Amino acid sequence: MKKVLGALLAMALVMAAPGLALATNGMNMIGTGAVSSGMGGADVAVPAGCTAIAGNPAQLATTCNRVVSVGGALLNPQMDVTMPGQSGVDNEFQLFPLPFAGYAQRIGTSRWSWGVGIFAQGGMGVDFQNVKNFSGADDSLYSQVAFMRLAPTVAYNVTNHLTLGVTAFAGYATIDYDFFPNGVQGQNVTGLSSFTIAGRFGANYQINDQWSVGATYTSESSLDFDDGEMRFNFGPGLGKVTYRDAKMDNFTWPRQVEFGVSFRPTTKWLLAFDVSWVNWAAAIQTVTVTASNPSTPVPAGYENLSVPFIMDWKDQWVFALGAQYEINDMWTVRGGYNYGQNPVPDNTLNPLFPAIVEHHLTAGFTFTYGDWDFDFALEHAFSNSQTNTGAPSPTNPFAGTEVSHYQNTAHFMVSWRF
Amino acid sequence: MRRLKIFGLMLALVLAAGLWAGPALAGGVKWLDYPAAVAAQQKQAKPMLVYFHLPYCYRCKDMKRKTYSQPEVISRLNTDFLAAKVDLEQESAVGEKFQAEYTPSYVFLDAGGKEVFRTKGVFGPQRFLKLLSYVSSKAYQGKTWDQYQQGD
Repeated sequence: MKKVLGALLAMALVMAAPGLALATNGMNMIGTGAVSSGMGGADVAVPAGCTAIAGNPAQLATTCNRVVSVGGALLNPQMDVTMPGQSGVDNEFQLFPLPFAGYAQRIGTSRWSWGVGIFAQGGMGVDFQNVKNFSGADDSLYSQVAFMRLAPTVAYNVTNHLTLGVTAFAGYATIDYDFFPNGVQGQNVTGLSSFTIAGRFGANYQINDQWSVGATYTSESSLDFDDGEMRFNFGPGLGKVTYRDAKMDNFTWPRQVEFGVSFRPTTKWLLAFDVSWVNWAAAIQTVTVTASNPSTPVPAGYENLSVPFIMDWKDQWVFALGAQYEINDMWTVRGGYNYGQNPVPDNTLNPLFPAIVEHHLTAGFTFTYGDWDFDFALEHAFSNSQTNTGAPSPTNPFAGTEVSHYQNTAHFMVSWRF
Repeated sequence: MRRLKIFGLMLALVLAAGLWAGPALAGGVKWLDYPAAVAAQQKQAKPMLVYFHLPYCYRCKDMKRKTYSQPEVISRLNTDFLAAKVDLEQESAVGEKFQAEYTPSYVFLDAGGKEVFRTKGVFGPQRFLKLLSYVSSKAYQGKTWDQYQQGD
């Protein structure tokens, strides 16, 4: 079963080729689907179709019949890294496809609904070429963290007002990175992957025709990456040696608590506000990459390598505010704002993992034609800059380095009710 | 702290907007259960709307919020139609009789109790009023619903 799920998620990752990486609220997307994203990710207390699978599972209980949704997003990050004494280097052009597909239905006319979906939970990555390494030679910094989730979900209408839902997340994550591979002690790590499980519980209470409140709790996903390979650069002489067993430990997708409220001031307007707490402090501390089984003899003491990345991320508060206006039966427009505190501390900033953007502005619309919905949204994450203020040390090689980051994302989705 | 103040202000605006309560309900649609509507049709020669819904379905809630709350819709339904509301969970026999399982969906019967038209989905107020006119004017005898909407 584990292999089947892993294969499904791996297939989804392949579909997302050439890569899948982003950084919005930490490593999480601000929302899933063009409706949620168009409202700045404020979706906890908002009725949803299939995307409830990736949001508040209790909202799946509002499903009327059957609905299938297919869509995704295209994300374009723009980054710049400036190392001490060097000029700034821009990120290579990247456009990441982030797929979503889901199906949901009410079970007959009962109080039960179920659904299943596959979606990009998040990730991050950079691609800096021609950046100078610590020896002053041209080199590269590259990273790609990708995390897909398969999410079977059930939801139940306890009363006409109270709905509950639960999602079981089967996750599959991959990591590759280049850390100045042309310099002495540089590394090129590929093929790290991990299968993981987690769960989300959601509730929604409709107070009256105007007000609803909702909440979710998501457990953490512990990721034990293995099956990777590391090429370690010993410098002149031995050169690059391949270690056939590379692993990464202590990388966790965090637990999260969300609370949301939605309000309909008139029949055409919907306003929503979410607050989320993301427990990055427990999830991302010191991430350690280990490598063993070198393909050629190596100097004594280098049979097993251990590379610590001291990151010590902070917990993150996320605030999302969204508005929706129904112009007529066919057109609905949306706007939103999302603020997620930067979880990366100044003294551990690493340009391989620059999840630093904070402010997002979004806009979108839905065009409804009969039983079809066509959703679209644009999301802009405003530029944020951060400088590593820590003291230079072997575990903080990027002291004094500045990173700037902004990004644009286009979301789209087609849904069919039947 | 400044950011928290901004969000506090936004939240206050949202709450203040709650004072804006939307259109008056004008007493609402006079929904009957299906047997009562059938009995009423014996005495009143009116067409009947049989509305199939589920209390949890958000698109049914959309109909209630956007359309059944509008004075013109309320007036038109209460004056020209008998309106039967069927909860498919509680009244599955009526659903089976009409082979209705989709929500929201609508079956129209003429004054003699014969089914003349059915459709489904969410209708905004103007389109729903047009639907009521399509049935009450018996336009279904010569035109499809699509033709009627296009004004052919």
